[in-house]
Amino acid sequence: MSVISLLQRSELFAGLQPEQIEQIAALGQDVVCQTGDIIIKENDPSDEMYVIRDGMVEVLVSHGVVTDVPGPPKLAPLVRLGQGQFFGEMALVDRGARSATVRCVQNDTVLTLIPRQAFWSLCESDHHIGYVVMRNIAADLSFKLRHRNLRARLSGGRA
Amino acid sequence: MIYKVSYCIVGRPDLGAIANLNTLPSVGDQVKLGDETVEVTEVIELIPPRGDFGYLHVTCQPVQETTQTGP
Repeated sequence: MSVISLLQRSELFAGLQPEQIEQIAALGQDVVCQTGDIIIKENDPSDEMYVIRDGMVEVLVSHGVVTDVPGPPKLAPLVRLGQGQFFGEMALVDRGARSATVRCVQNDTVLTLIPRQAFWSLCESDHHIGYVVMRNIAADLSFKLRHRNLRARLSGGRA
Repeated sequence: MIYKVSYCIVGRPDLGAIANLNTLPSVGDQVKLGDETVEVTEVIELIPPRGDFGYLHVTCQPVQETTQTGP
């Protein structure tokens, strides 16, 4: 699937005109990863977001961190994300550090990396792109919260 | 129509997923979530459709691997 076809099928860019999607596609760079690869790491600086073109990744957060115990923190899985989903979008909104670690869980997963600064400049030059993308990010965050609430209900509040 | 699907797996709170599908999922479908295969047991509309997107929630159960024991 081409980058443009992928972006047209991602909710993040729903409502944009084809020429606007082409402008975003021109910013994208392909990244291929294998099972176990760490794509982004919790607390690292954030400079880009990713759209999943093919394959699957897992979002993990550290928990139960005890500062005087050596070794890496234990990571708990939050959710797996497949084709058409995106992650790292919080960097576009708040420019904060990464809030979670993302690991590849399927060989030959293909991602499209979108650099924050270039994307932000595009949104500044075309406010319609900025408005649509921010609305879609809000809708996606809402969907993720609904998903998390349903999992918590299914597992008796443990998700 | 593109279906954005929220997956929850009974007994596996660590294995939720979200993915886009080109076709409407159905009860009995087997789905691969990375290295895990699950079977769909329920499909509901999570929120009303918007534009070309439908929003679904799917409950699944793990597929038991059949292992052959000795003769």
